[in-house]
Amino acid sequence: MGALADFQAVKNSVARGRAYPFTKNSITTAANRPMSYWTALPNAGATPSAAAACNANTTGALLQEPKLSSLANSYFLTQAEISVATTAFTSLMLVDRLSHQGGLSGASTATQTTNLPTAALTRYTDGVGVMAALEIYSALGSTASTATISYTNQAGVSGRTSKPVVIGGASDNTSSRFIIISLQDDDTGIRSVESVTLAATTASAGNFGVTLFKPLMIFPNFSYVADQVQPRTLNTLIGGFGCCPEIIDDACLQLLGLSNSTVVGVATGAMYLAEA
Amino acid sequence: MAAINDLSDLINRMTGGNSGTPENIFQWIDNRIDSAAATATVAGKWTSLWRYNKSRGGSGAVPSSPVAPDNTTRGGLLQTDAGGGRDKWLLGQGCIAASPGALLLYDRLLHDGGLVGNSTSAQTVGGTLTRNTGGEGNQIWVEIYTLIGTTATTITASYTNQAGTSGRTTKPVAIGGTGNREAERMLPLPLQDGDTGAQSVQSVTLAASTVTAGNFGVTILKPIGIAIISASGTGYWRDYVAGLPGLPKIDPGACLAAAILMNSTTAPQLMLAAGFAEC
Repeated sequence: MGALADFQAVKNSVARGRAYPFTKNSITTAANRPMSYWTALPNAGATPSAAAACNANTTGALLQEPKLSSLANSYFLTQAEISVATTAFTSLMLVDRLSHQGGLSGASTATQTTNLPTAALTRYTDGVGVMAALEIYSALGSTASTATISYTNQAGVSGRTSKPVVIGGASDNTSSRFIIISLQDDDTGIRSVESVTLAATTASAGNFGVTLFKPLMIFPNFSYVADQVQPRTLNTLIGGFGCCPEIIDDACLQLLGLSNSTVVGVATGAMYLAEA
Repeated sequence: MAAINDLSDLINRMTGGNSGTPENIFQWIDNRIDSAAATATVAGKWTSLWRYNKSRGGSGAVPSSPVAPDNTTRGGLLQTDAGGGRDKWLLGQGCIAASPGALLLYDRLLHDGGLVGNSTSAQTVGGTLTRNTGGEGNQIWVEIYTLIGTTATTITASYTNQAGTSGRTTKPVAIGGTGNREAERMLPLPLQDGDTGAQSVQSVTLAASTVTAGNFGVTILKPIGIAIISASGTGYWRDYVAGLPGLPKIDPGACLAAAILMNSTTAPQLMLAAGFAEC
């Protein structure tokens, strides 16, 4: 795949391209915890059950028109305009949602394999840099517990066990919580997840699943003054964090939020891709 | 040393042209260490994120002897080295975080552990740097791995400065007692007047016992960048591209790690990001 030749190439590409507008309604979950916009309207993603690989055609994916499928060239995120309408301090993250499943229970201490293993990766297939999260679709119980996953790492070694993460209880049991997993020492990514085990019941089954994703970009500080919308125009080449992420073919893009409030506001904006 | 010609050259390299080999690393850092919650932080004090659980590489180990960690040592970012005789450049770094503070990204040059908080003898450190061996800009920090005692005292280090002069002594720094005894606490030691770096640390000495041995060590580090997380739910971008030609060069084998000067008592969770390209 190609690279952008120079700054003029970026300008030319953005000029002849078009904006990808997007809007996602606010979500309510837990303060100071990562949360998922996946099921937010419009174009809300469905709660998954069977393991499935996600792609640009999966309902819920951002940048739908034109779809990011069957791309002949390389595309790089070079500019973004984003605002978040909220009364809280809020940051966003853009990720490629690679694989998901659901139907796991917060009330079981057995090794859960329902709808697992996760579907094989179709992007970033070596697993390097791929992360896993436990995504809550229906509220779990109010008793805090921990969960571990058994997974296959970036080297293809199965039977790896994650570090425990807190699940259940206040802040970690609500719908749309996105609990990111810490890996076993020395691992740098995940190819698949085979099972999930809770140390104790959260006291309510609810519904949660495993989501595999690849972070692409962070967008800090989109609202930092109460009751104000903070629109920003971002150039990922200059003024970004030095990352001009490639959006690879069939990417299933979604936003994650982090806020100091239980509500992450309406996220609205547009992204500009440069074709190389 | 190679140089990036201009913005166009950089754009080409950061999108994969001209052997730029872009590397964008994300690392989720959880406020837990293995199976336990991390110790509550102390506002106004530095906290090491070395041992925190991570989505990339896992938790850093407690050193038991002086070791020079590198870019394969868990606890760090684990970036790859540049290939083909090229240099590696940090284009920017950022994070989004659940707790406010100031985040320091640094190259962890050497670390040691197994020192105790209840001895007033000179405790040997030693070890040899493998990066920035001249010592210019290197800093000496105390890093606590296991809770030491409740009695406040001070600590000094005997070191060799950037000019190769041994027997230099840092200014005393408070250690022990609330805020200066907890696991993951990092305490920077100001150098002797006139010094601008350190090549090695020979020993550290407590003025009095903190009463409990615990476990602490000495870390020699070279700061890469610092940035502010102004509030919970915010973060930052520390952009180096806009400051061309001031891109930080990342030494081969650099062990990039993070510490945070906390503004709250909530141990932080954060997504750390860093972007690199080669030239």
